[in-house]
Amino acid sequence: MAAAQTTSWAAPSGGFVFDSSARAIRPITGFVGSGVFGTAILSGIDWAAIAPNQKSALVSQNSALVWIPDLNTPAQSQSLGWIPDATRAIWSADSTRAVVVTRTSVLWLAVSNQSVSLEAQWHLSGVRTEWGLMAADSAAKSVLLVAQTRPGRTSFRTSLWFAAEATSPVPVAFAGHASAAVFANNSSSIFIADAVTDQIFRVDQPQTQSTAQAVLNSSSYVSDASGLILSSDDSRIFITDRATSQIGQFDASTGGLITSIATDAGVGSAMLFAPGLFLLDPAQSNQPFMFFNLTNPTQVIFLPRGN
Amino acid sequence: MTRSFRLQLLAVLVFLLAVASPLSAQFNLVAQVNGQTAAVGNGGTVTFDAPAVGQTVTATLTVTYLGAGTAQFPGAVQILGSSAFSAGQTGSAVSLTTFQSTTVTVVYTAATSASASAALSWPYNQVTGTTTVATGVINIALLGVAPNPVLGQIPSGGGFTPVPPGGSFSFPNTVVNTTSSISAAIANSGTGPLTINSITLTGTGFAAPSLPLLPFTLAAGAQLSFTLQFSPTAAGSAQGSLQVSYASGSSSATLSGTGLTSLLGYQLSASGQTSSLNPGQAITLPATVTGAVSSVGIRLQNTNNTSVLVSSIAVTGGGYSLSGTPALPLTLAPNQTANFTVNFTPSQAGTYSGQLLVGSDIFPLSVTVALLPSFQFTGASGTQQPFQQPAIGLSLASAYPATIAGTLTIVDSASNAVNDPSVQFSTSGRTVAFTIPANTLQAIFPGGSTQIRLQTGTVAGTFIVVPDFTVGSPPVNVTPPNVPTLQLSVPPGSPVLLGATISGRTLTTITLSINGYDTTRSVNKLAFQLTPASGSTLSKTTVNLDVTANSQTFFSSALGLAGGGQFTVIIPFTLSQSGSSTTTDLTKNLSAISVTSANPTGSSNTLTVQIP
Repeated sequence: MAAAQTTSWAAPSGGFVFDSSARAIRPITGFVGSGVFGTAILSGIDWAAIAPNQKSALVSQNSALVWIPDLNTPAQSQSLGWIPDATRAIWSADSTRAVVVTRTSVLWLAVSNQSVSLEAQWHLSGVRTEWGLMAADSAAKSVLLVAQTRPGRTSFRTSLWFAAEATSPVPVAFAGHASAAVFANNSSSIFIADAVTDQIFRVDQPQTQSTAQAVLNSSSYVSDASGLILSSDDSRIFITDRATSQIGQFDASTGGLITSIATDAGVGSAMLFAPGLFLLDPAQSNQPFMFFNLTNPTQVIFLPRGN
Repeated sequence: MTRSFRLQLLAVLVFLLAVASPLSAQFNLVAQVNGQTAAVGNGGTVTFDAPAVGQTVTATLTVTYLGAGTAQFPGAVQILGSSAFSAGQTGSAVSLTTFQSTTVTVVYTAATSASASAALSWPYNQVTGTTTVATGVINIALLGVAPNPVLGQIPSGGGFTPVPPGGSFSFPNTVVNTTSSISAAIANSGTGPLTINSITLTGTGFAAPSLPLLPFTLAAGAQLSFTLQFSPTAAGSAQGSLQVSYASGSSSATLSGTGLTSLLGYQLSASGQTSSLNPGQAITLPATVTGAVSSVGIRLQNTNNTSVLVSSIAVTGGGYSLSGTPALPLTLAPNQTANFTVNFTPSQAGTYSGQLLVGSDIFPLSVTVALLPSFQFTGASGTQQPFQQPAIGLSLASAYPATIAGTLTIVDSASNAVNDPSVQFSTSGRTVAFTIPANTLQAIFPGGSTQIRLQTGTVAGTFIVVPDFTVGSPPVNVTPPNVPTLQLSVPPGSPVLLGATISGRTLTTITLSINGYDTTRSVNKLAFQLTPASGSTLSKTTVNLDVTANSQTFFSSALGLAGGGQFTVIIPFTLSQSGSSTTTDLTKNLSAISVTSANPTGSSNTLTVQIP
């Protein structure tokens, strides 16, 4: 026999957003599409990566990494002090894994309801080299790292590196200036936007240093690309732009422009927020947050920034 | 009288002359020089007036012997003294009987304008028969003079400032259609008289109105002054010449002057921009609307190297006024400035003319008082679906001559039961600013777009988008009374379920979390359909819950008001099976749960959650 017990009614919540300009995690009151930002639940944050389940988050505060299992009770956090100098983290789509980059390492974490454990780690070396995490696949098992090396006082060079739990970092055969990247959903390919040549390149076997191939060329949409998003079947690639209020939708195989989707402001970055929904950080602090919904119909939804 | 008596008388006269007359009386000396003839006594002076330096003067001296016997001049005429003199005579030896004449030519060449002196000496013998009865010398003093003309200017303080050859007379900056004057003079710094034949001016605007009758003889050391005038008829530099011709030679100098439209430089400050301004140039005040004062700033500057007196500053034309004018009369030192403001206070729409008068400088004034043109909203209007983000805009029916700043504000209708806080513009809040640049039609919103999106929220009701408009700085509200507004309404409807997930699960319980919204905020029923797993049976597959009371409690609470019509309902389903152990997962008997909600208006869509 099945019996329904008393219903309880709760405030509708659209999830949580890290507002980098406010250095705070802010809840969304209401659902995306009719939501507003609520009062910050946590402030003074260096950076934060919120899991797609909108429940937990990895947060760097005063240069110390902590894990918050439930953002509804942010005070209950667990210190991850054994991961010093963390600069960025990306979650897997199912929120069970996260990859973290520090100044000297890339680490893979398994996250459960109760704990965070280390699954793999690679040391990142290089004299006068700063490492960054550019993209991860949907399982957060493969990552694309960017290394910026300063051989001289005024010169620097940038290189891309592929790493996975079982694969130590190897250089990616890409000679351009990567401004955004995304892993394919259904293959090991990586799509990389080159801000110098205004092209999107595809690297099919990054772990074998296969040559990058240009798949599309667009000075209008690639020159100031801030994020790449792939449809679930990898057939369409969406390019967000920092300067213009447009998202270009391209055919990933032919490189042809399908359509242009208007946004409410320039986009600073794009990241997975929830299945089929991407959070578009505004390029400027006084502009609204936006969400890019890949489900039918594809649309941009704004979220008023509030005070 | 008999012939013999006359002869005797003559002899007596001759005897008397020979005996009684002094040596000078033996000759009659007549000098012809510079066109004049005069007797010269022995020992007298003949003056040579050269017309100019480098010129020659020739004097002819006629010597007539009056004595008895013969006057014999055994030698040539001697010129002793300045080499500027030279003499010539007819024959080197001259013999004159009574009443017989000879001439001596003396030439003077003026080497400088300084005087030159010499003496003519001509010894003679008075011979009677073969006996020299007397000797003597004809002595004539020779004086040569020449003039030296100097062209110059008499400054206002007096004195004389020579203008060298090729020099110029400069007039002060002169306002067009007025006259400035300077004093010129011709000085004769030489030793001889100067004949001035003509004084001629060339060049537009230059004149010498009070010249003396010419030709004019100017004595040595004397000065002839006259007035030169400059009367420009156009702005800009002017050139001319002054030519003075003398009996011999001439002097010349250039004349220069600058015509100005004004002795003052002007600057206009309007609409935040500064530009130069010339008398006669029209000043257009910024367009304004009724009740809004339009103003421009005026700056005067003395651009001359002498002080300028500003005697008056005034405006004409209804509605025009001045503010901040300096005390008058005002003396502006070179480069000194003064500022004031021209204002226009409109009473009704139209175009208004006037004048700004600064001394004799005139500036036409004009200003246009415009009414705000009609406008219309663009984009979404009327009935809107909830949970949407439509875009709206605003467009003028005709262009406006000034930039309009405005806002759109979302206002709840008084009939709305609740205020949905999610009804906001994408820029946050219920007010968004826009501008309509001058002479354009479209309102421009933050980010440069001609449209702005807003959230319609999830509560049935009407909200009104109210515009307001300002013009100018400081801003003046020009929103017309009864300003047209945009009405957007969200109709009441059935609930909408957005999503359902399993938010909790134990061996005996599955908790569903259901998200949705109800524009009437009156969900009263939740209906569930349980689908058994394959091979399982459920004694009850339909569960209907009356949630009227809980719904009302929630929607009237602070949490409910914060979400508008949105809600999250959490329902645990507990399964039981007689005889099952405590370790049996009874939830595996379910494969899916479907949910539908309802309110007095109708039923929602159905969502189905699969039970993994």
